[in-house]
Amino acid sequence: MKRNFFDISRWVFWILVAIMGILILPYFKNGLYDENKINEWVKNFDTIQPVPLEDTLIEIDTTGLINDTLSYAFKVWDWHDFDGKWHSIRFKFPVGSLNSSMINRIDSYEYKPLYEHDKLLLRDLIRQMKDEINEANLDYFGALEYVCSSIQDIPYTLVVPESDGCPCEEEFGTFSAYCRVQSDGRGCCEGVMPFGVYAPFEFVYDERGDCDTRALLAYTILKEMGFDVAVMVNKNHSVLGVSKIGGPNNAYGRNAFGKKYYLWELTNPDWRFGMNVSGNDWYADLE
Amino acid sequence: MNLGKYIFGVREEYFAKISTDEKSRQFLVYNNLTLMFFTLVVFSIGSGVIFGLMIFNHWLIAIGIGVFLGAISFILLLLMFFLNMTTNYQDLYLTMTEMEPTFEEYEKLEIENWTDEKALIETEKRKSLLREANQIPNFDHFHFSSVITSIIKVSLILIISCVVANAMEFLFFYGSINESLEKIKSDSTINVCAQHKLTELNSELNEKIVLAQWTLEMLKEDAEHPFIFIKSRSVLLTMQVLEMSLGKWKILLDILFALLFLTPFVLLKKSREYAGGLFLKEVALVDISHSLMFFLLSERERRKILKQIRDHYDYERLVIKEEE
Repeated sequence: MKRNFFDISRWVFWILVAIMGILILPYFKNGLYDENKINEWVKNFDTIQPVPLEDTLIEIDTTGLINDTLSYAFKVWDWHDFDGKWHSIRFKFPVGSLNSSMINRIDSYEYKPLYEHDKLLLRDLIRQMKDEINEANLDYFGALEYVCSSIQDIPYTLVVPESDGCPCEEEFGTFSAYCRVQSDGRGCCEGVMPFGVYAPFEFVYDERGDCDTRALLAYTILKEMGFDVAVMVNKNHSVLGVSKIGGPNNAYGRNAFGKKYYLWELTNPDWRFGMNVSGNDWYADLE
Repeated sequence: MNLGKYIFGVREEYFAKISTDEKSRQFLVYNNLTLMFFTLVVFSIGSGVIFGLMIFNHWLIAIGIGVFLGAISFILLLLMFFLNMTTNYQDLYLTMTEMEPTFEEYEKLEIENWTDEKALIETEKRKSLLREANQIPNFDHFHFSSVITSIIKVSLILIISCVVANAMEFLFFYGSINESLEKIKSDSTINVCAQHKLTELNSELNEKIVLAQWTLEMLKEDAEHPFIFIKSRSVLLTMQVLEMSLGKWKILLDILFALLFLTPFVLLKKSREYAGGLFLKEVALVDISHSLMFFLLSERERRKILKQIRDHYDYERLVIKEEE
């Protein structure tokens, strides 16, 4: 018995040394090291974060009790992403949002009020998109593609402020008089005051919009998620601007302080980030 | 091969009165202990080299640190081992630590006329008596302070094992760690985050930005001094990657290394092959016999000198009497 303890301990020691020796070899340890844990950790650097929202959907009565007094309607926002994967989000919005959005749009002469007003109406959609991004563990660029693909999947519809603007012949195509979604992207909506852009909520609701309407919706969603984006315009076009991710060969515009935004054309599903966007007069109109 | 001689002084002459089987067994246990000791020191040297490479990215400095850490481990482990090497032969232990009662027995004997041989015979006789009287090890000299010293010793061993465990894990998985670090370095999410400007109101985002910038800075390779081992300038970042990727396996590996370092310690403490072994018994006997032998010789000389003084001088006048 007195010798057993020594013998057992001796074997324990040398077996442990042998295990350590085996671990030095480049085999036998693949099961121990999990490289995927790094992906989880890197996700912590994702700058998508919730921006505190002004909670207008909840009214506080005089007794101090919180009542959700508004009634809601629902809309399904569905699309194929760039990989052909089908997404469908059923989101809620306060009844009367479409009217509210339109009235706000008619009274607004720049993009910012449209964004400020409609981001609240689209709150549930943005929240659900963010949840899906997190569930799918998408990285920064993956999340951008997820959002932009939902907009690019909708066929193009020209939007003009003039009351007799449709049908029309533009340098980039011919557009019919029908203000509705057309699969060939030849729809045209006229009399959209004051400057030929639908508010983000209107676009989501009716799924009709041209370049600046699309860029504004993309901006609204991505800005609320925490991305550094801008609505980029030149004399006759509008695209989404994304800061930080571009390379030396990507088209870009600048804001008034010289900050670069790389351009992302959103008018149809064939455009991807990095494809050339013509023109060198792009500037950030909303950031 | 008698490895135990170099560290623990296990020499052939200690086993003159011991059977061949017992002698071989004692050689075996001390050879094993010495090998364990050297193995742990080699692990420590390796750890020093690994940490040296990670911190200084320079072979010579790394080897210097390896030698330094190895030397520290050598001394500390040696100290731990020797502190635990106490014989369990109770009488021998007590005799060795307090020789006065043994010496008193010779005060009334006329040893001034003893020859060296007579003193040696007396010492050997005494040694044989002690050997015969102490056949069974019986340990009961426990003291509460030994609990505290044990805690300190175990803590020191665990500190060394912790250092070695981490270094060895870096060595085991350095290929995978480098792949992960490359992945982090080229990850678009972290690069985009690092390029963000700091914001005024969002401290959470600012923390991410600063951490991303720091992370990429730590992974930046100097073209003139490329990474030799781990492709990171930060030990903490590498450690974090290792911890994340290994998860619970890291805890298991840490425990295995702690077990590796504690095994010789526990073995020394609990195995009767050491504390109750014949080597320590013989060493104690040799120690006692040396003390006795030199006591007898010095006492004989003292008495001779005293006699000479008394014969040739007025000794009574030389002594300062107490009443004066």
